[in-house]
Amino acid sequence: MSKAIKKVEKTDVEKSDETTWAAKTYEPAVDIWETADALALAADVPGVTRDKVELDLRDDTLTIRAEVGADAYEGLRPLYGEYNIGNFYRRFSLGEVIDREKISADLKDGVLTVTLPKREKAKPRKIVVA
Amino acid sequence: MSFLRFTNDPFENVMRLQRAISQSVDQPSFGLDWTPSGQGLQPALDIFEAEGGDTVVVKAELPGVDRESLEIENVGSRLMVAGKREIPTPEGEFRYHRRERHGGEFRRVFRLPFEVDRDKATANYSDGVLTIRLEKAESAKPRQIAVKS
Repeated sequence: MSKAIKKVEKTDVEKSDETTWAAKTYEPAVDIWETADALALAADVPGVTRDKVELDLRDDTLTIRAEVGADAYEGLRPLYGEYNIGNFYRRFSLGEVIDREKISADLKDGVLTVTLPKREKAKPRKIVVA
Repeated sequence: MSFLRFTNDPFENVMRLQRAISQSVDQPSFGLDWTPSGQGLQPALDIFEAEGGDTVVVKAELPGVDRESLEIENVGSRLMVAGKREIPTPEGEFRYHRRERHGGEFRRVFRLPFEVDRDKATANYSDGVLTIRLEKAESAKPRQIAVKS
């Protein structure tokens, strides 16, 4: 067996400080990258539908909450399990000044993508010395 | 256990041992049967039963998997699920702050609790979850045999 095989495992939320969900809560795996104009984030939230995603930006804290529908598991009796079903919750502190009017998000095949454009004054500016 | 050959890879040894143990048990087992060699991902699977045990439902969380790449194969009570996940590279100039998501190919083979009727098998991929529904084959169902006098 090669060491290159990556077992996909979910991470439990350690401090689910404000959830009142009865279900388990996991931290979604994320990629965060920065371009000259924006911060972008991609999060794995399998089993989540569009209407169950909540994004909240308060001061410089971005919160992602995503709920997994239990309907898909109704009437099913577990025989063998490698993963548990639960909601997703994660918080980030953004170091950049974000233009909140221009934030956009998309959800496709269980991947949530968020684009957070930087505010004009936070963008790097070249100052030409005359 | 003379049939075990040990290698330098401790993980491989554990897998071999596990395989040998499951083969030596004559009761039909199911679940993880074989782990792939090579590179890639090992997505987690859940197996459920429904409708009084005549239906088995396999679910796998596969966010962002290319639908076209999904391959499902069934022989008897064995099921193979394979596919590929590509993480698109951001456009233009960028710098990663965090990278926790991984792309790659995956292939899992496992055994179901019974032989299935492959004509009735259905698979669905939505919201990043693959759901495969399989029904017990007629030949695997218990049958009453009448005694003729």
